[in-house]
Amino acid sequence: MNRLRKLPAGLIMFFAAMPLLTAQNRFPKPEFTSGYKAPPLSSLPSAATQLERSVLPVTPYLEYAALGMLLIFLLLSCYFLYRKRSRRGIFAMVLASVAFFGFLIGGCICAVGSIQNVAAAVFNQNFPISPVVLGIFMLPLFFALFAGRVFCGSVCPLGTIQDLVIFYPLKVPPLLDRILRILPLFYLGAGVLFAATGISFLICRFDPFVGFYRMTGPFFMLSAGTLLLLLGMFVARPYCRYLCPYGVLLSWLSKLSSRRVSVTPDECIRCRLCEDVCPVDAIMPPSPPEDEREPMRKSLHRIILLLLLLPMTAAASGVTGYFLGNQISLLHPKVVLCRQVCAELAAGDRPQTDESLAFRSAGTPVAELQREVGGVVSNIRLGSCILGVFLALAIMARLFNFSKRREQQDYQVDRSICVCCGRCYSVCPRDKRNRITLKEGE
Amino acid sequence: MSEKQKKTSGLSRRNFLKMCGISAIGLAGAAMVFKRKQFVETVWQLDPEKCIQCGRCATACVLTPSAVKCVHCFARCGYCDLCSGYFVQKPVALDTGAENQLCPTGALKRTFVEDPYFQYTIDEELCIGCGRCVKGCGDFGNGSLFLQIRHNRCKHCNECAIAVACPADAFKRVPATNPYLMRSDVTGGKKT
Repeated sequence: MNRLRKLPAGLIMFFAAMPLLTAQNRFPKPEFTSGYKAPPLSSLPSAATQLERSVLPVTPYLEYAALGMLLIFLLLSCYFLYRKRSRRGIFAMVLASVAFFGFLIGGCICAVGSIQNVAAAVFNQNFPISPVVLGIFMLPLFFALFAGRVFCGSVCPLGTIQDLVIFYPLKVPPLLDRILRILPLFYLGAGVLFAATGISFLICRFDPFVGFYRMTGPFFMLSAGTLLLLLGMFVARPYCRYLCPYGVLLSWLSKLSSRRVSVTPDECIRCRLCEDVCPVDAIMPPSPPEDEREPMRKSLHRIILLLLLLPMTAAASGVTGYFLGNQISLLHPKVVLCRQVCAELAAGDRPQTDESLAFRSAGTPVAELQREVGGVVSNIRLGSCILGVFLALAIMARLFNFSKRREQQDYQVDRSICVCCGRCYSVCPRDKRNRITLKEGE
Repeated sequence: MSEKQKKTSGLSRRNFLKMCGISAIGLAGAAMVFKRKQFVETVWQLDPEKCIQCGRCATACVLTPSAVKCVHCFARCGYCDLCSGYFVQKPVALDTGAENQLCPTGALKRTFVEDPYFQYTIDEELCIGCGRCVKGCGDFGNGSLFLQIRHNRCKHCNECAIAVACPADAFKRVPATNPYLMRSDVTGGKKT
């Protein structure tokens, strides 16, 4: 409410400040004799009230609505997924999410992009972050702790648009799948590094689907989105599985979730139908009998080897990151500007680009820019060194997980991969048979 | 089976880890809220003092036409007959002929007030935010025209495409309660 009251007050101050200006006009304001009165600030051919309304930013309210809707959507998805076990309900949520978070909200702000706002705010005290953005970042993570990746399945506007185009999902070969699933780690790391050091919001710039929701956008991103959707007809949810940085965070937290999608309501008859229908290959077969598995010693050896390699890999990767930092820093707009200005000054030239023109006309001393750039470059080097260590650790953790012996009786979902779409519910014969016997019983 | 185990052990590994996860998320959130001064809703806006009228606002926005429009501060306008924001540098005649106008879309309208004054208004439906009139007015006139993001049009992208393209670093996130930026000399030395 307070905010509501502040908005018109800000506007009034804005308009009231205008008559204050007097001095240093090249052409003084005329003394009109015809009783002419100037219209308000803008020249919209409308009444003042209408003008004020049109001038106000609409987002704050839309954003609060988005946060509220996010909570409602998450709760409803949990209800359909775990209480009703209804693929139809989930599908309705998918449609609703595409309509609301996609076309109505226009794609921004979404949880995937909010990683960068949070990263920028954590590493830069002056970066303004809004309560809504923080909420949108944390709510799906919080749900993942209890109910797995329900956000991915039926709430995320990026995921749901891909869910709608799944036509004939093929199985990705397991090895390829495992390798490709490392990509999101890199994307997450790069996204956080770029946002924290102020290079750019990488994840937003290469958001492939937001162009569809806005129904306009750069040609490159619209075509990339189209290609991803075409690919998504046969390789389900390619962005979610092999790129999405937020999915990494969700999969980490969903490993702890107490609820998981349980394919069959009672006893598994090992018909493998669910394994076939799962679009993201999240359903793991039962572990083979003891005599067919590789001996315990072998996997133990592998794990010990991994542990021994760990410090070396982390160090090597950190050092590589540190030296790559120089290359990465060339992407920072301030660094580009500094190089341009210094090159021009060395050659004694006039400003060659709009950037250097703007910088020189602002009158900031070059030394100050150089000092700032020095700070930026050392930040980027440090950040990319940390990123290198992080990536090494994360990849080693993946390898460790693959080497671990898995004990499981039935076909069960891997919580960190499952996106909670509910397709396995609809094919499980036990599920259907139960319904039929109920009907016969009546 | 697993139910029983949980009950007997009291605190299973999963629950312990989960508690850690929850408290990490909660603590991170709380730390950010308490540490932060700038915990507000924001919108994008461009600072007219930094703007160099490069023309990229017209082309870089995800919207066509751009959400950046020219706005006119009438209180600062000199109502000149020979308006350097309206006319090209050596106009054939001081009339509304297209060859005389600086505005590529004819969005800047000129109406007679009284001799020798003319009022200039902007038709926002036509304005593409190229900033040519802003440059003309700022170079030779009072500088009463300037560019602003109109929030009724802006899509509020998380990363503003014009902010990326802006050579003068003029785009920033401003509090949504005060969504427009004026030149400080216009507001009497105060920054809005």
